Amino acid sequence: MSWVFLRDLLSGVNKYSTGVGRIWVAVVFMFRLLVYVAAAENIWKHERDEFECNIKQPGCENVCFDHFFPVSHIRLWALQLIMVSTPSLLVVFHVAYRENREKHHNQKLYKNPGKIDGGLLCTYLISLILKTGLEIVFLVLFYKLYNGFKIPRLVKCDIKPCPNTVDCYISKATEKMIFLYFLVGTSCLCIILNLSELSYLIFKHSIKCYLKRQKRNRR
Amino acid sequence: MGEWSFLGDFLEKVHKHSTVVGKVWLTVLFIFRMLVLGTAAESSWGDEQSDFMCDTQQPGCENVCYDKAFPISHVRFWVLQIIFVSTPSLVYMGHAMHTVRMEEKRRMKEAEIEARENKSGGDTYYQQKCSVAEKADSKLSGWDEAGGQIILRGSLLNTYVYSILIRTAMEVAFIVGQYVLYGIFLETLYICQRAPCPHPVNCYVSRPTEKNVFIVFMLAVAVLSLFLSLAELYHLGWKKAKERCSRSYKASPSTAPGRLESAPQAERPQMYTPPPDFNQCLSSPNGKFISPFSNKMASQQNTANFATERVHGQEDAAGEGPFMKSSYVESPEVASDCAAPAFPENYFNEKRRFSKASRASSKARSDDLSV
Repeated sequence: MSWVFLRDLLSGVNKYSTGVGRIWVAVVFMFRLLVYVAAAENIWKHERDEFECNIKQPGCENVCFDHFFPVSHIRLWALQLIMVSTPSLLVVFHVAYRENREKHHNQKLYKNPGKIDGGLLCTYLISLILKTGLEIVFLVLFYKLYNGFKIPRLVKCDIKPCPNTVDCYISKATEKMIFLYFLVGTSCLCIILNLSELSYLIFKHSIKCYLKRQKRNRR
Repeated sequence: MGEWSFLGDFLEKVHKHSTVVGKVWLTVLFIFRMLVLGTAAESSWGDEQSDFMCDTQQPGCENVCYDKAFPISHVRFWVLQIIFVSTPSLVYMGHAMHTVRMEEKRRMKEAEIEARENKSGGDTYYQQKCSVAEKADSKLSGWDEAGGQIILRGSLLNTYVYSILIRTAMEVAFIVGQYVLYGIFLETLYICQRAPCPHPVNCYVSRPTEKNVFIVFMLAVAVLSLFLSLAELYHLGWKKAKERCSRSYKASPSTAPGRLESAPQAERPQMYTPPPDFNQCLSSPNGKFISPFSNKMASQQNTANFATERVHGQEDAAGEGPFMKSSYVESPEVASDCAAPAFPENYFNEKRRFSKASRASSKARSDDLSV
């Protein structure tokens, strides 16, 4: 199981997306998935081995690392990528359900099963709201867990069995911070894209409904 | 290396719709940057911190010194460089795909209109002109129905040029950034003074020579990519300027057609003579080429064009008078070999006003760049 699986799933989503949706998929692939796989994974690869405390007391480094990194940045990043991509699958499932229904009844029930209207529009809007919500949840989680989007070089730890307050040093702090800001930036960009797609779809369909109503009233 | 397949698949599509220089640039990107980075450079930098040794036993000193020496590792820097340098091409690709989709929608609409027309019966001249005008608009947007290829003109050409400009700017920014961060070569010894190191300590970088080889290689490839981008810009700009010069040289001084000329002329600069390779326009193998002139239009177009040729100072956008005339005479056959002609946006407006004395030529143009 690798990221190729997610990539293949998202490629299917591309077919049933609006223009902004396609831009969102491209941003997720290029600026998040690719950066994660090609760069970020390697930075955090040996974070535990490279975490060093100024003490010889066995076990002190372990407890300090565990205290400062309950969930590592890179694992949270991976979870975020997965969670944020999956609501799009709701749309794919709905389209597959429509096509299945047509096959089952052996007649053309929909003008185009992939067109975003009716029930599919609701599914699409729900997926957008879920995606935006999850992005915000993960950003807040990052902020709360690590006291802002900062990675210090030095942390002070006084948890047992450390006998006193010891200095612990985090490796590659600057590089990790650069990529953390990159993560935050791309998350915010994806939130903006989702919100603009949401408002575009709501606006477009309200105009459509309004015009239909006008036509009906004229008759 | 598998991770680069994400980007590779996107860029393969860009490859199909680029100029020759663009294709060379993409090949350089694939082979000399992505492949080298993924296979060789990554393993060279694999043990960068574990083998970064400082001449001290002070815990934490190596960590902070490595962090100071390498705020961002070369490998990660190059990953970001490749991503940012590739992004403008993807924007162009997005625009091209958008053009394709609009063209498909337009064709579907047209098919519906024609079906309705056939039902109602009696084609009017206006309806025909409208349908041809729509086809003309699509030609302006850059879609070759015959070859299924995107023709670089109009807004698509602008996007292409902007994407190359942004790519060039990114390339320069990253080359300058690398020089500012690390200079050109990596030194074996790095002297570090940062808490908690008690005094200036000697720190030794692992595999400096091997790293220097890759640094110089990647820098050279970046400069080569920059050069290719500039060459592509020059190539596009020069062809455009050459076309403009030849057009203004052959333009008529007479006043009567001046008004008619100037408007199409204003539109024409967006087309340009492509490199010789792309003068061969493809026709689809099953002969499904849809002539820009429907059969109903043929006689009217004939009249208009003979009138055009009779009038003095006829405009010739590509400056290939004899070729253009002969290609028109064989219009139905040639049309299947050449890309669809490009019509300026207001050409058909003027045609309606000055129908038989229309100045603008409606011959098939061979200077379309189908890439």
